[in-house]
Amino acid sequence: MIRREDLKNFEQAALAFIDEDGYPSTIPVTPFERDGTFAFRLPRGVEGRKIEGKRVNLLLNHITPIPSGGYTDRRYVGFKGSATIREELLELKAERKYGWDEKVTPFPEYVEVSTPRAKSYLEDIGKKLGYTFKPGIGLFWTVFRAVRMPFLVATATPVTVGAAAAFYQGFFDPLLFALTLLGLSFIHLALNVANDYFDTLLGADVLNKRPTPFSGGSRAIIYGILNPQEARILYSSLFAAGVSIGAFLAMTRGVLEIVSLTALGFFLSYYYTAPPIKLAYRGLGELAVFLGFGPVIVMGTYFVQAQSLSLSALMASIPMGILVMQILYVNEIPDAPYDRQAGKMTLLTRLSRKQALVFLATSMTATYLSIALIPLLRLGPPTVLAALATIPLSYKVFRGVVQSFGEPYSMIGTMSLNVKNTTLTGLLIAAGYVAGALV
Amino acid sequence: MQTSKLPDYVEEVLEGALVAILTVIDEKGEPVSHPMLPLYDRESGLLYFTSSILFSKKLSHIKRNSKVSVLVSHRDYVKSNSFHAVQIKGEARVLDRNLSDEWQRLLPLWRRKEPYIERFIKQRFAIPLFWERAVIEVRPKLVTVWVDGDLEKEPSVLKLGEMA
Repeated sequence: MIRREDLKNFEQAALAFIDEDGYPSTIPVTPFERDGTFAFRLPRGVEGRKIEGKRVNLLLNHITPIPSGGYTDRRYVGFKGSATIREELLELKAERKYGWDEKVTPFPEYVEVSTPRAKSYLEDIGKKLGYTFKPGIGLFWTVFRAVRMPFLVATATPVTVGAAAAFYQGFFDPLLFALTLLGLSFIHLALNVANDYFDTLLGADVLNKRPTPFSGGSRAIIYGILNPQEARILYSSLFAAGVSIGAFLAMTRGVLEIVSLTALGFFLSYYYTAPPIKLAYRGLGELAVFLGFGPVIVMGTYFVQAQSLSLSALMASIPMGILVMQILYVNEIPDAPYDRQAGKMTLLTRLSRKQALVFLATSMTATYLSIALIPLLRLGPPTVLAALATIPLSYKVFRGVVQSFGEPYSMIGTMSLNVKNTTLTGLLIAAGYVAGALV
Repeated sequence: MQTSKLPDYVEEVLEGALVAILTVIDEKGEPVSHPMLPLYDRESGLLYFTSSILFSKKLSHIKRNSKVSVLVSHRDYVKSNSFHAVQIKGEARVLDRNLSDEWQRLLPLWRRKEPYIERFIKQRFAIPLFWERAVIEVRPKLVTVWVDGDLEKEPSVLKLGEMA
């Protein structure tokens, strides 16, 4: 029987049955309350006897039309069951229910839940037509999406800081800077693809039904944009390109230091998720990202320019490493429940909400303290203190995390702000070094 | 009454409808209904829907049994000067040999109903499987019209073209 709460929030009711001509018939019906449940008045021209005892489908539907065109606020519910006619009204004995309400299941989540069906449809028609179907987004967007191109700012910023720290010491070669940036970008993109490959293989991304542009991986393999073999080829090629540039720089700028840093960078990137080490699965991903995007990149870039390692470069790398680690850390918050299910025990999965927030506040504080220590320890110019100007932005990120903790779609704005904050703070540190050299 | 094409007043309703209930027959021979955006092409007299492969059950049902019906019945969901509740029974076919592009020929009709759709298509890479879409083409055979949406009045029934 259909009850009042079933009908609540729906304006349109349609009843479907198989008509005598073999076609389904879909007719408008009007709900009518009787004996505490609802029956339905049939429209004129439809005889109740044609429906009596038949299998029927009642669909209740709602949209909110938008004055400028289109609609929003979609929801519908369908009931499958059998019909009886009593006193000219149709009563439905509902046996099964289906439907969707975008306020309950947001559209992106609905898409994720339905993805296996889409892939199986593609496979079926692929078999029939004799070729493999792939979503038609073109090569550029396939690569753009698979490598997670926008995250390159997390490499470009520490490279800029390392080069700026070298510039402050009187070393800067733009060609070497460009080569370093290119090589490290290849390694970073390879890391992203390898991360997706292994997270898909190990189930963490597959289990995640609420991904966002910042969390849950690129979905390239899950959506069938790339097959696993293509992903392997892509990350291997990118690693090869990055390591080749590293080898060239090692030969021209210093074998021992650059080979060591490149090897460490490769190890941290590949084994971030690759078995058997799977750093991220053991709660070491955050440390790996801190080391990789902080000391390894900043000091590596510095070394390529200056052909020496210095305490000053190490100091410049600390805030940068923490900031990029914070990107990962905040982006892991919405992934945590799925990561836990998949056995990917990131730092986040091991902390309570309160502990997670304390860790974030501590790392934000550590970022700015380490920036303040640069001139205090006379390891850089006071102009780097300009980066402290982003403290209010960090506070805004922190507040955003507090307010939307664990709500993937509500966190998107905060995750985006966090990336911007990292980039801006890094660029202000770099600008501080450059200004210090020029003043 | 037999006619070769849908009357103007029905075409106007279909062109203004933001939602239509499409009913297909499932593998057990039972009806299943889905709300969908109807796209009516006046030139050919055919009614179209596009369905993402994410929600592809109905496509399989139509491939198994091509008989469908479509209902437009709620005044607030139809942007037209006049309104009638309309049910169309017809034969459907699924066009899915080119899932990436074929539906795009219906974009001019789609755009008229959802002007913002272009913005989403530009972001196609964000939800790539949603934009792999089959076209459902419905050839109307029998039309039932409750004039002015008045369900208390006897509807008019029109048979189209080759049916009979």
